[in-house]
Amino acid sequence: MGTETYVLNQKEAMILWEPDNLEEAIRKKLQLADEAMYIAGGTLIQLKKEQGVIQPEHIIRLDHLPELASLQMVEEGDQVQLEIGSLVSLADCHSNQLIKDNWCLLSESALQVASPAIRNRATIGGNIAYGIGDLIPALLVLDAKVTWVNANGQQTGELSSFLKKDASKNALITMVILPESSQATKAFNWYHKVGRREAFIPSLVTAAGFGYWNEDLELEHIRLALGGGASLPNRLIECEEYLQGKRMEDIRLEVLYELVLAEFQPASDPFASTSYKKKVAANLLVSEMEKLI
Amino acid sequence: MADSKKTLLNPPIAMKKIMITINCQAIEEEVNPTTRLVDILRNHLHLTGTKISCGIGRCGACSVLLDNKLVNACMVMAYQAEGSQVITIEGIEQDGLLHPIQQAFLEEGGFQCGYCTPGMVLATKALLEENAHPDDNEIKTALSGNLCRCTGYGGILRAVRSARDRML
Repeated sequence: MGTETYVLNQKEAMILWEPDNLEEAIRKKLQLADEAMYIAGGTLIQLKKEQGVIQPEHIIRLDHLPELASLQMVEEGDQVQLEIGSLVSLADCHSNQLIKDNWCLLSESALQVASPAIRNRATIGGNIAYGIGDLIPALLVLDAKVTWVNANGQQTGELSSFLKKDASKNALITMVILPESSQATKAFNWYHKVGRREAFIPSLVTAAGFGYWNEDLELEHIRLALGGGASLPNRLIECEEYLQGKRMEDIRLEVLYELVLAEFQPASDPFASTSYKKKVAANLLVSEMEKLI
Repeated sequence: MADSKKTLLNPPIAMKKIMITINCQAIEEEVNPTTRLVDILRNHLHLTGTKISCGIGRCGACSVLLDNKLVNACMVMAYQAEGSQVITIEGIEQDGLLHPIQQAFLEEGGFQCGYCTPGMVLATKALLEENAHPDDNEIKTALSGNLCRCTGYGGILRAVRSARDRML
C-alpha cells in the first residue's frame, strides 16, 4: 500500500487487550483511537508486521467474542436474509452448505483468497476491513450490507457506502448481511481473480458479476464489480446502466468493452500498468457477457 | 493520556502463561501473548521440524495443525493458540513408525532438500482427514499454500496420491 511507512526490524511485540465483550472492545478502541486496531484472524496484521509496516502498537482481540461468530438465516419482512458474523472464516464461507446452496458466488470467491491455511484463520470481517479484500467484488454484486459500530454507534448500510465513507475508520464490523438470493431460473453469476500465478497470489484484477433475465429475455437485474491490487473495489454503475433492461440481441459488446475501459480506474503497481488491468477487466466482463447472449 | 489508557477493565497483557497441548503433551509457557506460535515451537520447545522461511504465510514451511485445521505457525500468535491442540511433524509418527503419509513421501521421492516437507506432509494430512478421495485438482488446491523451491512438485503429487491410496 502506498500510504504505509516501512521500517527495518520493527517486529517488537504488540500490546494485547482482551475485552470481555463487544461493548468493552468498542470502548477500548474509542479510547485508544489510532493507537489501536482490532484483530480477529490476524493474518494481514502478522503479514504487515513481518514486512515492517508501521502499525498501531495496541491490538484489541475479537476472536473470542461469540456474538461475532454466528451464521444464520433470518426473516426480514417477507424476505429471508443471511447474517454472517464478522468472525466467520473464509474457509467456512467456502464450505458452509447454506452459502453453497444460496449464495454460491460467495462460496466460490472465498476459495480464491489466499491458501487453505490462511483461509482457516482469515475472516470475512477482516477481508472487508482490509478495504481491498478479494471477497469485496463478490459481496458488492450480491448487494451485501454490513453492520458496524463506531463512535456514532451501531449502523447498518450498503457495503459500497461503507467502503467509501469515513464510516470504515475505527469501525468494528459485526455482521455481513446478504439479501435473499434470486430464485430466477435465468440467473447467472461469475467471479474471476487474475494474478501472476494460478493460486495464492495477490490479484491484479478481481471481477464479479451477478444478474438474471426476465421471461421476455430482458436483463432484469445486473451487478458488475471490479477490484484488484490496491484499487478500491467498485461497482460499475455506468456499465450496469447500459445493460439494465436490454434484450439479449440489443447488447453491443464493443460498447460494453469501451464502457469498462472508461469506468474502471485501477492503480498501476510494479507488476501491471493501469492500461493492462483495464484491458484484462474489459476482456473478462465482455467474455462473460458473450457467454450469455 | 497514558494514565487514561490504564483505566479500562482488563489491563493490557505483557506476559501470560499460555497453555497449549502440543503433540498430545500439555505445555505451559510464559510468553508475550503476541509471540508467534512458530517461535514457541522452535525456540522454546526445540521442535525444529516445523520450519520457518517467509514468515508471512506465503510458503507453508511452518504448517501445523491447530485443532485439526491447517495453519501457518508464523501467522498464529500465542494467545490465539491458547487451549488448543497443536500437531507438528514430530507428532504424527505412529508407535515409532513413520506415518503413512511420510512413508509415501519417502517412497515416491516426494522431497529433495526436505525443507518444505514437514509442511507438505501436514497439509496432506489436513486434506486426507477432510477428504479421503481427493482428485488431482483437490490435491493442488489443498497444497497451494505450500511452496517447494526445489520445484519437486511431480514427486509431491505422486506421494499424496500414494498416501491417499494407502490410507483408504
